[in-house]
Amino acid sequence: MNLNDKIQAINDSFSKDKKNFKSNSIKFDDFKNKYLGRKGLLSELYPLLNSVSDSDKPECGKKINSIKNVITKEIHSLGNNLSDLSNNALNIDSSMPGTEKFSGSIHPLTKIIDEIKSIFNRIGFSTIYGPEVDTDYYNFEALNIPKDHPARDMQDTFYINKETLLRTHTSSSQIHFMEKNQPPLRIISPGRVYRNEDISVRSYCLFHQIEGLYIDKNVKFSDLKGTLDYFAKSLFGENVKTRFRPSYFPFTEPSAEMDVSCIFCKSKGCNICKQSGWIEILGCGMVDPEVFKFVDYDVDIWSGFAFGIGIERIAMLKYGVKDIRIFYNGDIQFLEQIKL
Amino acid sequence: MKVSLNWLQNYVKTTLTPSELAEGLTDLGLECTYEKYGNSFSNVVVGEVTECNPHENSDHLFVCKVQVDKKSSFNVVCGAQNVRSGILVPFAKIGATLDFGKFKIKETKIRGIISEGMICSERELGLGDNHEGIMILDDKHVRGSDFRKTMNLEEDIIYDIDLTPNRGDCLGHLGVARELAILEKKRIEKSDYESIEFKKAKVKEKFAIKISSQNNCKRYAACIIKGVKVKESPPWLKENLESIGQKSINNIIDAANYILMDLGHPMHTFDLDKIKSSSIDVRCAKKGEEIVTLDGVKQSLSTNNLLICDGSNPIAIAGIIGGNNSGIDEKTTNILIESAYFNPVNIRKSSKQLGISTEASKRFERDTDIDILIPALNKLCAIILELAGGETVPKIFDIYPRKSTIRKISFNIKKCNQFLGSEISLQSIKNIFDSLNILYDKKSDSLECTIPSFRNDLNREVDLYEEVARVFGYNNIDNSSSCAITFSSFVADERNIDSQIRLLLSSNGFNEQYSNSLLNKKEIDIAGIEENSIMISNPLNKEMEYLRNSLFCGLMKAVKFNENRQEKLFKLFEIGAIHFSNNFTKTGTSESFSLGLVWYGEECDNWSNKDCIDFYYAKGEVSHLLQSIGIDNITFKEDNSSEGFDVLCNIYLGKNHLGYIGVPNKKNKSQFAIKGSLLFSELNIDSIKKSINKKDSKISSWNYFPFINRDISILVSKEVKFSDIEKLILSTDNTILKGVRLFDLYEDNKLDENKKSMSFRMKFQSIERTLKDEEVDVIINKIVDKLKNKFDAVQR
Repeated sequence: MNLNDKIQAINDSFSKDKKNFKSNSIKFDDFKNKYLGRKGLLSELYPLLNSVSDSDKPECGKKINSIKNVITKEIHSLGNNLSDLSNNALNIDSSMPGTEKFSGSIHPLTKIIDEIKSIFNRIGFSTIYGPEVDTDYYNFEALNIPKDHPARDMQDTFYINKETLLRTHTSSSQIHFMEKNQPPLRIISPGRVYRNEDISVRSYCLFHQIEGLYIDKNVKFSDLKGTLDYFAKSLFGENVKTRFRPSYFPFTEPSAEMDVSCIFCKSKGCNICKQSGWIEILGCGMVDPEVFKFVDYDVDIWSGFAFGIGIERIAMLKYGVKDIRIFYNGDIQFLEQIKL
Repeated sequence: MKVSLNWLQNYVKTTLTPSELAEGLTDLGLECTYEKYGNSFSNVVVGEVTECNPHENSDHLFVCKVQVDKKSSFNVVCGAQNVRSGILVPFAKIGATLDFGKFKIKETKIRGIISEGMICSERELGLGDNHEGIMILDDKHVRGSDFRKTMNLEEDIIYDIDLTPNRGDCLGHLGVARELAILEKKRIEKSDYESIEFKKAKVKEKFAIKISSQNNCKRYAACIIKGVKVKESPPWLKENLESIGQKSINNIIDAANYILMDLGHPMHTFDLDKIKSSSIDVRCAKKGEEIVTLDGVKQSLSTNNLLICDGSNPIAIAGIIGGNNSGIDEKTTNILIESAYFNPVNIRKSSKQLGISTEASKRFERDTDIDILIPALNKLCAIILELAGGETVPKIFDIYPRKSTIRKISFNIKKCNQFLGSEISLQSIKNIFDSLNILYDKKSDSLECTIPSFRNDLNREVDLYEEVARVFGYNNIDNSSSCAITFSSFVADERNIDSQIRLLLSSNGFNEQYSNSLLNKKEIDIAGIEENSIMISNPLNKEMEYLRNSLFCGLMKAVKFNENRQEKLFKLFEIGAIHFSNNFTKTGTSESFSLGLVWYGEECDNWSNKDCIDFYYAKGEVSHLLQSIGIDNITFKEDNSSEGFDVLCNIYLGKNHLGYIGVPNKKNKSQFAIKGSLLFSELNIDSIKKSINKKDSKISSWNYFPFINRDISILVSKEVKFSDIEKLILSTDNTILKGVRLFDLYEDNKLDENKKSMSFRMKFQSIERTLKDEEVDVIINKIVDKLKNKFDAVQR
């Protein structure tokens, strides 16, 4: 084939491939390599120069350069119009699943603890901790629950020995903290607590609590109400109402239970609120002067309030969990539903 | 505790609806729910059996005529053997229902004879267990009258009160009625329950009572009734007791029980003739003394148990339970009624120690009203005389050596309002005290309050604040709307690191789990990195006897749970306290926070990711986690001594042991019945926290000089460890060699089978100038030489 025929053939093929490329039936890289590649069609032209007479060589060389320039320019301009993405996109099925990741999750109880911590952190409560194994003194006596007090029946306790036990509430952490710090103080203490109770749908041998304590000059019962009302609204939404009922804890006087208006039935009465329209959320009260005596705070200067929130209870309400045991068996199908 | 609305209304009439009343009591601190308590029957009337003949087709049935009024009489087939003509019976007419509507009376044919209704037994009416025969009524009832009305079987509402331990005064209808009176703005006066009159006979009885242990028994009263007849209780009494969940036993015991439920004061009845030497001594047990209690159990007593004794032997454990040597039985004719005040702490200790809790002990340990002893005794006597006949001995014994002082509390109105954040007026406070039967004298700015004897829980001024608040209504006190923060009260969160770890791990695909921290002996031994575990002295069961000493078992159980559920691939983590014994702490234990990690599965089964979940995968994630929270340069040291693991590596930062990572072996996994492959790592968060460099690490200033990457591949013996090569390479230069990475490892039979090919990429960079290839070449050559000399490595 002489050079002119060859040039003509390349021209023809190029116009055809241009159409093919535009209709996506040929990929850009293949298209480009077919002409401009190291072994592309244009590279085949130069050897043909050898068979041309010397006088024709400049003429033929110009022809080759010309077609090479034209094709190179056109291919590059076609190439420039393609973005990198659409270039690759030509190769993918976007409906294929992306590379799967493990489904990570935070435990629902962690999530509730974090949420409650942040609500109280916002209004100046610091987070403190205490040991799970503690002495009878910190768990009971210093909280005004002497050895033979009927209130001990309220909490069935696991003992290591006569004086050492698994804490039944995180109020014990507060005594540790009060021993080392002087008021004013504003703390919450989250943690795991234990109760010697049979395991059932509603109760487990351990659970988690956040207890709070606020001691300052002139802390009033109305402050307790305001603070906990803020807490309930932060956790359950602006529209919930709170109500306080008298109760009894040896370490507070007056003592109260706080209910929130049922978030499920909007207080119309349902199974969850047992038709009452209210759900019990936490226990609270003004710190009993006896407790101050144990930690050497001056009863005439300081007053304060304390509260205790059961995390499992809140989590069961918020997530609609019916069986408390599911929190502790590590069921991934349950766990992975909780999102950050 | 259960209380009956009808019963309460003996003291205070109320117009509140059952739910208003429940809410009102709840708002006063007596949290309660209520249930309707009704008779299980309807349409039952009093009928008279006027004829009674044997059924012609049966040897045990009778055909009766039951007359309801003058006009109507019914043909009734009856199977009871005690039916006879001339008696009054409860008669269920056609259309009547029994068993709460489940059973409807219809006209039926029994062995060929039509029966137009049914004569009922006690059990059929839900009034008792008696099914021996039909119920036969007293003659005083009127034929045709409504059975419910004539028997005083009213419908009732039963409140179930979840009473707090401080309100022992409400463990009886009287106490609850006092609270109801607050709601009704009425007041129960002492005279409402104290003025009981009954006839005293002129019988004489020699009897002596002595209190030897006056600390434990402040007051002991008793009286004697002679000639009683022990029998079944009348329906009204049975009904009253049953409505609040109490079983009927006999008229004497039921009467005492009735007063217990009524006044909240427990009294005990003895068979007088069983009390030897006609005397009672209230004393503590002697060493080795024993008593067989009413329930037939022999109790060994200790010297702090308070006893009621006759001339020689204990006849009751005071305030808790009677002895079976002195109890009332069918033959009893003379009784002694005890009405006493016992020290609450003593009763509680004994009750706990002996493991006996009774209606009596529950009340005594919550403290009782010392002033109610005699009124209660009077009331009980009156009832027993009515139900069982007999005559009372005129003398009432009342041993009360040291009279209790009247409790007075000074109450400051201003301080109270300040404490509550309220503005309650003096008049309102007076009204509140009135409703609580608290007497007061005004003294300048305070009230001198006299506390009624039944409110043992009111001892301090702050106790009165609570009374004011609860009667005024907690919900009527405004919520404050601001809170001032004191800067000095802030404390840093020392467990902040947990949150960081949780966030990192969960976003890296780990599911957080919580597991039970109580384990059994076997599990403690499995995880027993340390042997000094902590045992619980009163565990729920054998499965939960120990406090966990590792997170291993909890995570393995979770793995098993998910493996059973066909999960193929997952990662779990847990953060929690683990416990060890420690002789140097107050509790003899120490706790540390631990992070447990588990990788389960063999490889990622995704079309575009087939990552192998192997040791290197897990090691990479642990390293990454630690790096992310600021711990670099950790080292892994193999530990070949571990029993439970095929591979186990300890993780160190310098000399600090941070934890370990390993592949549990088959035997270890089989203890949890786990089949799949998994890796486990446990890190000590407390050590990690200490290892984090506390100084904020400075960010190095930007280096504008380009770096040069150089790769070398070498063939070395499989024996040679990566860490040794890495160390050697890094030791070659400490100016411009910034790091080395292994980016390829290749083992193949085509190579020498004892060799491996490793490819390293080294990074060179200067902080002063642009590097020249030649300077890098010098170092690369040095490295290649060193590798050759030391490890016989050949560059490929």
